[in-house]
Amino acid sequence: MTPFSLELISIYKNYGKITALEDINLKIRRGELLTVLGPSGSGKSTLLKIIGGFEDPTRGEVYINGELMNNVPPYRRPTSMVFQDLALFPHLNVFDNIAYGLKIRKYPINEIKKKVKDVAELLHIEELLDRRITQLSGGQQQRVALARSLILEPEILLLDEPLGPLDVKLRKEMQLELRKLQKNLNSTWVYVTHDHEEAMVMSDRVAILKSGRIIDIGTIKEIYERPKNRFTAEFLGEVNIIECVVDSIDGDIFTSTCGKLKIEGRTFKELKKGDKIQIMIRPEKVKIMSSLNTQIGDKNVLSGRIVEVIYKGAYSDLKIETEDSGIFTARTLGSTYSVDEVVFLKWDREDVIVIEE
Amino acid sequence: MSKVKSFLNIFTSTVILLLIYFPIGLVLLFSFNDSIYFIFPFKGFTLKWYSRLLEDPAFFKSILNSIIIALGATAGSLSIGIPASFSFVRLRRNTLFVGFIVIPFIMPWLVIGVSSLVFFHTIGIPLSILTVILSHIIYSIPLVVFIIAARLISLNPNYEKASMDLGANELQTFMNITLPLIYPSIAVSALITFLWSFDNFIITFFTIGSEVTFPIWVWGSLRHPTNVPVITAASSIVIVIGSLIVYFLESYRMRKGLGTALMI
Repeated sequence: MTPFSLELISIYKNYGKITALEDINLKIRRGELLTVLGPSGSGKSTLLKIIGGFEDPTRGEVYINGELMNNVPPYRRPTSMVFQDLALFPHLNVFDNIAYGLKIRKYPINEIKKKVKDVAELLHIEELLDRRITQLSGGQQQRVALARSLILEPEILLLDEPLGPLDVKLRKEMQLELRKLQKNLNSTWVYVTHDHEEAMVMSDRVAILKSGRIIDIGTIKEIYERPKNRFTAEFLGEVNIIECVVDSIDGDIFTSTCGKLKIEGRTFKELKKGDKIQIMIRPEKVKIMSSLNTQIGDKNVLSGRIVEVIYKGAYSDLKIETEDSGIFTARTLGSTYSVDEVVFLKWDREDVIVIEE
Repeated sequence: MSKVKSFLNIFTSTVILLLIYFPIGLVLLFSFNDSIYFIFPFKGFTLKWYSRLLEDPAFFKSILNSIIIALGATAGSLSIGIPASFSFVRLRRNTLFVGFIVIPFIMPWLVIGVSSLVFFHTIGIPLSILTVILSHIIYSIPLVVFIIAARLISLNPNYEKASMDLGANELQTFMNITLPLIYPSIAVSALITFLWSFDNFIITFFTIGSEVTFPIWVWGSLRHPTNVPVITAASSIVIVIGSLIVYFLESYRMRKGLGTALMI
């Protein structure tokens, strides 16, 4: 038996002249939660529809459990989808919604009752089984939709931004609960979202989708700390991107000039003198100081004037205007800085990331 | 409540009372009047128009024919109109199709009646109840398609997708999800088609040949002045039975807590 629940091989999807998906290759291990993260219109939902069988790929192969699934209708696939709008059947009550798949499969009624009871307990909705769908809150509807899919024990559960309409607090709770549930059930989930914080909480691995292509994939730590490209870097939070030219290389340490700024860092990529590179520095890696005991012009040191202080509760982001690097963002836990103050910025060479384009 | 609102309320109820219920009330009233003229004051209370009516086999025959025709027209226009609504909404290749569907709707009934007559005569089908049903089906289909298509367009396509995702094939999905969700619109179009067909005079007149429906019977009786009070008695019976049916349907709906029948 293959260790992969899902294998997508060179999937393309065109709508007329519009390319929705381009050369998607993806392998998802059994028990893994993969988040597909991307802005709206990047093809996330199309990808889910192709896995679920609602759309046929223009080209490419879909294997579920090692079996070719092209041209297999949704009702014969071992997948189940939690829709963005949940699509709970409005004419059926909660029990009948959850029992729908089992009733279609003609399970004996006693077994249906037992299974519905079990899954309802798992999701804490035992009390709601007699209610009409319209009598449920958003969070309760969420749980019913999950129960309706989970009761069938699908090989792959597909979730299309299911937490979208919930308020922030409830969403955060549900994220943790879903993650725990997925780990306990040890089932394979493909989770689509445009919210990078959600992706951070939820995922084993994250695939970044942009304009129909997977442009980066890895654990959240991998792609946050070592993004392959500028898009990923910027999509996962605040970031400073600086254009530099390589001066010299010594082993895996390089130095580069970026206007008046000199940056030294470690690279995992072959560089040579004169190469134009993009360097990423996360705001939280930057140390802010009021005075400096090294010289300006030293490596990895910068000075500038604060033009904006953005208070975010647990931390503040400072926007600092530098002499020639434009606006630089630095993060501070205190809130002692104010606009027009001149500050010095410093970072370690370990925090200098060369972005591969 | 604001003054404008209460004025509107009173205005609407007065207009409805005067224009609709007052004439109906008069018909009910005069069906018990012991005179063949519709003039006040009353000559006296009588049930003789009712007994004359109930002795007339042509009346019962006409009611029976009207019911058969209305049932046939309803069944026919639904069995064509429902699939037509689906192809109209789901296939979206509809420009020409909508045009064809709308034509009978905007054509005067007189024209439909005459052209149906010419058509049946040309291809040699003898006029009968069947030809009436066929011509009623023609002009009811647009109505059925409009009502059901309106519901289908507003139906979230994810319900059907979710059903298939949960293991139901196309037929199971249609029976378990689509049909129950669009059922009220089917019921409403069936009801309206039935009533239209039951009431229809013009198209029926051209396509029925020697048979008699209720509107045709009323029209025929009108030509004998002495028969006019009998018509009021017949109308009264139809009104009362119709009202009772509406009453029971409405109370059933309220018990079930469903939306109003017209809220498709």
